[in-house]
Amino acid sequence: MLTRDKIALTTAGVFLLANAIVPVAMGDLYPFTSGPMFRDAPTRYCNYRVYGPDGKLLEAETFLTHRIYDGNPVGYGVGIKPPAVLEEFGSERDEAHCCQHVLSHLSAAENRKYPYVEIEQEVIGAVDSQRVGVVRTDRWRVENPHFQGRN
Amino acid sequence: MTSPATTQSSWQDQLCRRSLPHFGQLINWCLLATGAFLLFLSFEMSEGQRQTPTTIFSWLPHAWITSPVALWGSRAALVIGGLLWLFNRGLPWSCWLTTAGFTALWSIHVETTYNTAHIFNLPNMLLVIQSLWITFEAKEINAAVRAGKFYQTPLLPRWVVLTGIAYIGLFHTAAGLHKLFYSGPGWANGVSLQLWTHLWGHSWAPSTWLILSSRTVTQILQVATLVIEVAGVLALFPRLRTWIGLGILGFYAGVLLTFDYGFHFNALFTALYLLPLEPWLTKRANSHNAQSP
Repeated sequence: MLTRDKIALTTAGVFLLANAIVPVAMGDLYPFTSGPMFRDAPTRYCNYRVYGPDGKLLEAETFLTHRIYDGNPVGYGVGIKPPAVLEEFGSERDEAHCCQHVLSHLSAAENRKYPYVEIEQEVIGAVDSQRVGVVRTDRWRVENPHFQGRN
Repeated sequence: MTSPATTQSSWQDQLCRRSLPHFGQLINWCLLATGAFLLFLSFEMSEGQRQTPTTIFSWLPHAWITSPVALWGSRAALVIGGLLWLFNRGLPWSCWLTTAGFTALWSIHVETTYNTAHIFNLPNMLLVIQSLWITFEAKEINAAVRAGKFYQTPLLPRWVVLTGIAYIGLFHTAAGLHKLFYSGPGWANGVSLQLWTHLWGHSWAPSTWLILSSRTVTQILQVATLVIEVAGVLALFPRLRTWIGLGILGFYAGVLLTFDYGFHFNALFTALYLLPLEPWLTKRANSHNAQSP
């Protein structure tokens, strides 16, 4: 016959088993988690900045060049799908990808006033056998086919 | 020769052996303090396409989850349940109300964001364990509270403490195994931790200076992290518990010193369960009770 103690022990066992199985079977399902933070092993990352024709730094959010990655896998275990930002931690986008990304945001009403913008990519990685730092900085000009003149 | 039935009985007796409730009560207070902290966090609700399932409440319509009623209802549950539980009133329902409010409140955040943090998973699961304890022992706990003998009555079964230890061990083992499965042993390449530190490390922290100045040291730190995390579940063995506790706390000390991540509660509960606080507290309570007239 099941005693109170036996039911308690069974419940505790099921609780622990659920904590072992649920994250494997379903991924993060709060409050269950597999502790995915910093699971990646990046060897470089990039900072992206967009500048207007006058050399002023433009809002990163406008061009989705900001960083969403915070150490956790982007979009994992969260209820809202993150916006499609240019930055992917650990990877280095090529010139074509960066320019195409910026171009896709130049048609927005607030960006039509720029005849062109410049996208800067700063690559951070290993600079020698012991340290990391800025490896390279590139800057590419993107003409705006949607330019409607300055208001 | 010992029969299987006797062995099973002895094993079960060990797990159900009850001790004075001081340690369990200390955990309850720390969990309630964690709940109070959560209560005052403000949530920004992001907009965008919904992804499910991400919490145990994902089956609810999104409009319900994002409604002010859900937010304030969860806060109310946490406040009412927490206050009742604090004064050992309405047990076991008050602790489940607290647990439900806590779970719902952080779930609302997780459901409405694209950036979250794993800072409340561990206290949340400990709340479940403590609620199970009070549910199974409610009759004796309520009787002891009514008689004013709560601290003089053996009310804390061993399985409650061991389930907490096992959960904390499992939590860290999962994090270590996740790194190994996702990135392999190459995770400890030294460069990755240097990059995270370069990006987010406090510029004033000595740990930041150390990590950024030496890949060799950083690789050693990463290997140590993997070993300590994967070994977490071995904390179930009493002889290894303190060592694993110290290792995990060393890891948290490094993380909290270097980064702006809110793992303070994880560190607190790891210290409470894996350092030899429970045997010390229980021994002290026993000797105090023995001296009392």
